[in-house]
Amino acid sequence: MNAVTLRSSTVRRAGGVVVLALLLAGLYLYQRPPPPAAAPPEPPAERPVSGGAERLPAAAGPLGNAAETGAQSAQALPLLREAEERLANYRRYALYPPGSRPAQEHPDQMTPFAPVVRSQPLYFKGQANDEVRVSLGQDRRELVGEEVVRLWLRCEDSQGKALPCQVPQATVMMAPPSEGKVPPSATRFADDGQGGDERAGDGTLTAAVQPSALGFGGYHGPVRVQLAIALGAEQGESFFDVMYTPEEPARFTGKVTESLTDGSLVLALGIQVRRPGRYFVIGRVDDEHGKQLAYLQWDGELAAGQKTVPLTVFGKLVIDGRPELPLYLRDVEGFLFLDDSAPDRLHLPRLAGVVHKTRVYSLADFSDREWQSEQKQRYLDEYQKDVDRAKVE
Amino acid sequence: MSVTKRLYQWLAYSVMAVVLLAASSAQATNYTLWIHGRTASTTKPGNYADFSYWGPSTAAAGVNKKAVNWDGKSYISSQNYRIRDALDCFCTGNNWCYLAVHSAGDYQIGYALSLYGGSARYKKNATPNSSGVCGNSDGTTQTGWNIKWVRVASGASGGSELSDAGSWASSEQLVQDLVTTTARAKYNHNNTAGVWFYNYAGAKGTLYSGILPGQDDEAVSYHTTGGVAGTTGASFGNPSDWFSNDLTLGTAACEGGAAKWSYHSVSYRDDGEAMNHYANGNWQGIIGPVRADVAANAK
Repeated sequence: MNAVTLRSSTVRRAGGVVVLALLLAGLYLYQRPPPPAAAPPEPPAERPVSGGAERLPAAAGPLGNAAETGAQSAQALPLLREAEERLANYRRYALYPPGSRPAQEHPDQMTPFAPVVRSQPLYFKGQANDEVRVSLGQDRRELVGEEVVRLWLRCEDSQGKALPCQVPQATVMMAPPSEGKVPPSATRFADDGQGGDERAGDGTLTAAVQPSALGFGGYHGPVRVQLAIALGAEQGESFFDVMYTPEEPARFTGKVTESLTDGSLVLALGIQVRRPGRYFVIGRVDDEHGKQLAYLQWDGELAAGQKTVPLTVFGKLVIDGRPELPLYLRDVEGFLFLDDSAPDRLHLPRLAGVVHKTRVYSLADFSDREWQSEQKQRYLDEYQKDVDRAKVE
Repeated sequence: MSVTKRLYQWLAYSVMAVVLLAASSAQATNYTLWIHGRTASTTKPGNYADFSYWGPSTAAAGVNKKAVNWDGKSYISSQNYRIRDALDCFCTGNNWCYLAVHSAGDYQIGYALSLYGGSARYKKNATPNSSGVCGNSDGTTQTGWNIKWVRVASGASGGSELSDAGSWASSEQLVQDLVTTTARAKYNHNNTAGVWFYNYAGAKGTLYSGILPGQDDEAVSYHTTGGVAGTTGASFGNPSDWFSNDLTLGTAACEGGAAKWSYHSVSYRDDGEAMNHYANGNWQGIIGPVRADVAANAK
């Protein structure tokens, strides 16, 4: 092969590569999804007509540190500042994994078994009597199997003084619009110091309701306790809802084993699974002095049989929280999640109070490493791109 | 290695790099998803171009806007697949989403993020079929979705006392989900996968002021539109209201100490009591300021 033929061959090969590249690019452009259809001409954005509105830029900063800065148009916010704050906020979030979070991030989830008490005006047929407030309490939102819920009611005037309400009728029924054939049952609210009522004659009327004893043993769904309320000639109505699981899909054994793994504390909860599927298990962790440290959640598939569920106290969370050890796992709850169904879960009997006391570790046993994952890196990369774009726009 | 071979390799690498670069940059698209609230089945689920709930589809409402429709009346859990289908379609792979939601649309996205935000999602090709489901792009999965933020017009994920009081038809499934204690127990509202919710709260309501505590927009109160945490609702108002604690702007706890859900920030409080709950077929009410901010920021 001489020099002339070599150059000629090289040129032909290079040309072939270019042609191949053009073909590939053409094929790619032909096959990729079409870009979104061009939008028709759109009117200019209307501005809200709300002279007195107070607004903050959307990127309002991390937990608890956003100041009230007064009226300011979000449109006036430099995109760069918003992009930078979004990136900084995500970095802060992603210090710890989704399943092992600071307690202060979940303030309404740290005492899950506290009574739910609400206050409302006396309603009747959708109309409110503002002169009478009705306080309604329940010690559980979910019931499993034979469990019992305690319900109470108290009427007060605008000064908080108890009013002599009565409950002439209380009916336990399937919450509408549930389908099924469990007949309604009557129950009784009384202020007699019995059946869960704390003190006779204090103006608080109480009832204890056990759905399993009222024919709900085969029913899964919300149970409603519908009340008629009487205060002299005044009438009112209200209700309590409790989610009822007739048969537990699994049960916590109460046994917990602990181990230090990669600088984090893993609490493995024993669970006896009767019905396989996707489970959520949630627990709380306090330190030796009762300071709330962590909200832990695990979700995943469990097969039937004796299993363990790992709740992880992330190492950096311990380092940053500086708890007094040992730690206490408490108030564990769980449910089998039922995709696209209503109701969407079957509850497990809960473990209230302290479930496990850990060994005493040194803080040096824990890792200070941040959480790492593909998801985290994806978000950091995209938010960084937003910052870079905003800088040049 | 011969000169020819080196030249050939250099050209091949160059071509591959160009093609890969073109592929990655061309396929990265931002979308704006609008998730509506309670409605009497007037929208077309799976049709991402049907903006009938909101107003004229010609309005500026963010880059590549899509209407995420569901039946608007069934239980949240039984309709949530419509939202997840949309998130899978447009918010996976190289594509990212801005979200705007109204009323029970807040409930829908909160439920999706809390209970599915850490699940494995197939990356999709952003080309939906008539049911609103997209095909897989490359057969791989990712954890959760790609969402930049959520703007919330009068969010109802904390429920409404109009459900508690029987003011709405009790035969409707969604009305039962909107009972305040039920809505607040349905999922952990703090679990947003780190995505921020920016809340816009309206206060023009008068008709149900005896039932809805504090300021309201005629359907929901500030306790939910302002993202205030807790197992029940409570009374929150504007700074000029003497008889209720103030709903604060931003993430700070409300007057009286009530905390907001984490990753929720009040961006708009209706001190002028000018915004009601309803779109009125023309992007009106509290949806107005949300639409304007989305149009300005979702690019």
